[in-house]
Amino acid sequence: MSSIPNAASNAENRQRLADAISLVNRVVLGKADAVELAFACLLARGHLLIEDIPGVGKTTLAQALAKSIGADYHRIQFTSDLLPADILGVSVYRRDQERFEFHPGPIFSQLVLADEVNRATPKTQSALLEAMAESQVTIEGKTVALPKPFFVIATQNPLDTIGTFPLPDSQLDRFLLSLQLGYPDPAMERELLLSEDRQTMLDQLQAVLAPADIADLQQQAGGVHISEPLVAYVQALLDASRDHPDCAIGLSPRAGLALVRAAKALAMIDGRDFAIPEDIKRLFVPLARHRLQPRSAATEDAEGIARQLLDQVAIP
Amino acid sequence: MKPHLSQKNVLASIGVLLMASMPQWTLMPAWLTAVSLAIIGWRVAALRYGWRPVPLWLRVILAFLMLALVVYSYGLFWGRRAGAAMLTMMLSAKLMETYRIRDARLLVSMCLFLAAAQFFFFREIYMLLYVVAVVIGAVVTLQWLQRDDAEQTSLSEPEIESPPLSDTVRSAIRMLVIALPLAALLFFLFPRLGSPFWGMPEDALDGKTGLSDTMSPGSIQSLFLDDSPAFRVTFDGPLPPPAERYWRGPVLWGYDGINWSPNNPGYRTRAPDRLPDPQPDSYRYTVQLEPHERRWLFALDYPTATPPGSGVSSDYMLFSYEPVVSVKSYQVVSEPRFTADPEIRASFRSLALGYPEHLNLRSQAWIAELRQQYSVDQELINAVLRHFNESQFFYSLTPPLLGRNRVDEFLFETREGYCEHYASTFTLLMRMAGIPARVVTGYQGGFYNRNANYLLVKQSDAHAWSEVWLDGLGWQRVDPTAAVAPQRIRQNIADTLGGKRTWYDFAWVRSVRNSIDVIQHQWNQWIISFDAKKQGLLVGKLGLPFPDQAILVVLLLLLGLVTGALVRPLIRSFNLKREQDVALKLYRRFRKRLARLGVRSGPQDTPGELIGRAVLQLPERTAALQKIGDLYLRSRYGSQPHLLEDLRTALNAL
Repeated sequence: MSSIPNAASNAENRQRLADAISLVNRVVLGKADAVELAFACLLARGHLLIEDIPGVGKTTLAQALAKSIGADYHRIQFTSDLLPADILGVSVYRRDQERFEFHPGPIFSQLVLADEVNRATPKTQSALLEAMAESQVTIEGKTVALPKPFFVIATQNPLDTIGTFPLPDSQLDRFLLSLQLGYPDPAMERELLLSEDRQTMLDQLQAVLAPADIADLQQQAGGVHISEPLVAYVQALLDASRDHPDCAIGLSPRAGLALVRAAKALAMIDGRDFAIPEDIKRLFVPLARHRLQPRSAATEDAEGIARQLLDQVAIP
Repeated sequence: MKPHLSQKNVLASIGVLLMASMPQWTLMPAWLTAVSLAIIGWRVAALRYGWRPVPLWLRVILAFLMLALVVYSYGLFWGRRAGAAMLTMMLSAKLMETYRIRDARLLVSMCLFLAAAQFFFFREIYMLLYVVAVVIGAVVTLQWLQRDDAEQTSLSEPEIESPPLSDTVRSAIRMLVIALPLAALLFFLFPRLGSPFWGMPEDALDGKTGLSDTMSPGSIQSLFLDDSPAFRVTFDGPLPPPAERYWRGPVLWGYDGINWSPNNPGYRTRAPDRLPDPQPDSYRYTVQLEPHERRWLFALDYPTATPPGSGVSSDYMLFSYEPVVSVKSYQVVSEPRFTADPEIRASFRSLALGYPEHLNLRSQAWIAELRQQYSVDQELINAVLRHFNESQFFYSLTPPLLGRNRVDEFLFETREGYCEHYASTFTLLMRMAGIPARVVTGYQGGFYNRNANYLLVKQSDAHAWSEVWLDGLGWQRVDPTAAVAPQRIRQNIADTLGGKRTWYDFAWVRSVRNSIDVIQHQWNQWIISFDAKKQGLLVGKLGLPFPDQAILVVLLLLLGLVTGALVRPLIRSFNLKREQDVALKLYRRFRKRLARLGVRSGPQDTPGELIGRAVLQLPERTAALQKIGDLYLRSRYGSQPHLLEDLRTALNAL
């Protein structure tokens, strides 16, 4: 752990962070904004939810991110018959040693890609989400800590697709941000079609950051200055979400804390040592989308509400 | 929204100002008081009739005029009086711009300072009571201000009713009582300096009380009505009899026909050749002298040694090296059986024989005739005293005025007067007869408080007597007043006259006053005269080291620095907030300007969005616009207030 920050290595780490971001951008074309937000999420010690139709690059983004930070990485494909033990691990009886031996599951890695998380049953989803919340798992009465850093990227298909179980509302809060990738714009798509195979590119991708550097960067992000007017802005947004007529439940204080943390990380990625209103504005929709609950399906959806809030609240 | 200052609170603040500055009015020249009252009156009227505030330029001009007025009244070298007057004037002036809670709070807090400044001039215990009343008033007003502020700035509903006045007063008193132990601790233990850093210019002093160092007609008379204490004396051992209680003050040698003046105004003469040796039965006593802003100290004849920080003049008067500006306590041992100057130097002798020879010719003839009768000096003196006693001379505090030949008129016509007349006349007669003589001023007598065992000498005990130099006997005290009104010497001035000096001058009032003077005596002894020296003793008794003055100065400076370092972050965070406000103001101006150029924006737009839009419409200004955006973000959100000036410049350049 590089717990003692020093100026030279700080700057060096930030430079390497920028390199990692540009590397990922080279693989995931045309998604610079999403890539930055994904890194911000990582540096704010949060977990990321990517919600989109299949085939727009969710998995590629997760893999490229994992590679660039040199994290050991597991992918879990969620299916309707996946069991909690398939994620957490099992104890197997070793007859030669006459005792049980624990075989850790795929969750014991620094970066976990939970693919199509909403295809599994709520029971299995909960196993993952609880591990995310506590950074540890409890198996057969024993508590085992998860590695550090621990970062989950979950992808999910749009909720109305057949054969999905929606994630429990209360647990969606575990994800710091939820991103939508969307289709690339035409020029980027043409370039994508022309360029070489994504998988080859991923295999060739070199890690520019080590997991220890991530810990250092996370710490640095915590030290970014957030000024009083900006805090007032965040608070005003939270307040407004609670008063919005279409909103059943507004944003919690935890959401506010997450927003501040993410804004600091984003400011650092942008090369600033203080957060500005733009940071908040960029983060607010990904932060609020999966947390806000519209009063009914007929009214505005969560993303629409979040955008309305941004338009209503004055920047102090 | 700036919190609004309510009418009630304006009036309360004015009340506190009036109370705090009232004692000053008695000290300031009348025109300063008038100006101060005029401003206060204007503010009350402005409140009543809703007049508009005075514009800034006029306020500045008025403030400078008031400064000029104070300089005109006191000169350029300021002492306490001018400083206090300036404070009073400027606090009145502050009323012209007291329209916000912040201003009122500042005004009332400064009134606390002004109230405390009264102790420079008034040390009586009743002034303490008055100042306490002012402080309570000020704290009550501050509470009201705080309440107003809180009600207007908080988002929650205001409380329905404000508490009754008695509750507020009670809580003010409670707060002050809570603060009292800390104040006492600081009073006794906060390091004191022997003298102020900045020194005390002597010009700044204006001895308005007590004796002066010249004797002109009426100068002592003015003191007879003044019952305020001059000094108090505690004796170790027996008291001298009343007829021996002559407290020597300035000795006067020169006479110009009207006024008597000292030989040595600057006290630069050398000390007498020798002082008496203390005897076992010499008088030992401690004098607690009220400040009179002059340098002389009072003692019985003749001091055997000088207290620390003082010297003795060639005519045996004790004097302090520094003007006595606060209650001063000193110990003296006096030995009356002493031959002062058995030999007299020629220069002193000629001084002690000088008189204006063209005046008072009748007296000169009269004494010359008497001289022929009595060739022995002592006999001549007795003859003159007998003349005062046996002829129709009267002791009166309201004698007729005298003209050019004062001695002639007094001796042969009016024959009415008090110590000043008798001492002056007698001394001149001696000089005309060729006997060296001089006038001594000081105090005579005093009221002995049996219970508290001290002697109270009041201003009304001021006295003047003569000294003559006799061959072999040295200087001898002769009090011609005693020949006319012996009871003046045995009792005191008020009892001598029989009648009343003023309408409230009853004997019982005097005795009550004398009795309650004990409280003032204790107050002086324990509080007022608590100075660096006494603090050193106290600290020593507590077993703490007491640094010397130079180290103390350094320690105080260090203490100031440390306090500053502790307070700085607070001030900084406060300033930061204000500077953010400045940044916001500049940004609003920027948005307005852009709106005029056709770049619309709403309050929900981030600076980045606004700049982006502006760049699209004004591509030729891209660099300038981006610079403004960057400076604004950094100064407002990045806590870099030093960029504000750059931001202002960039905005103006646009």
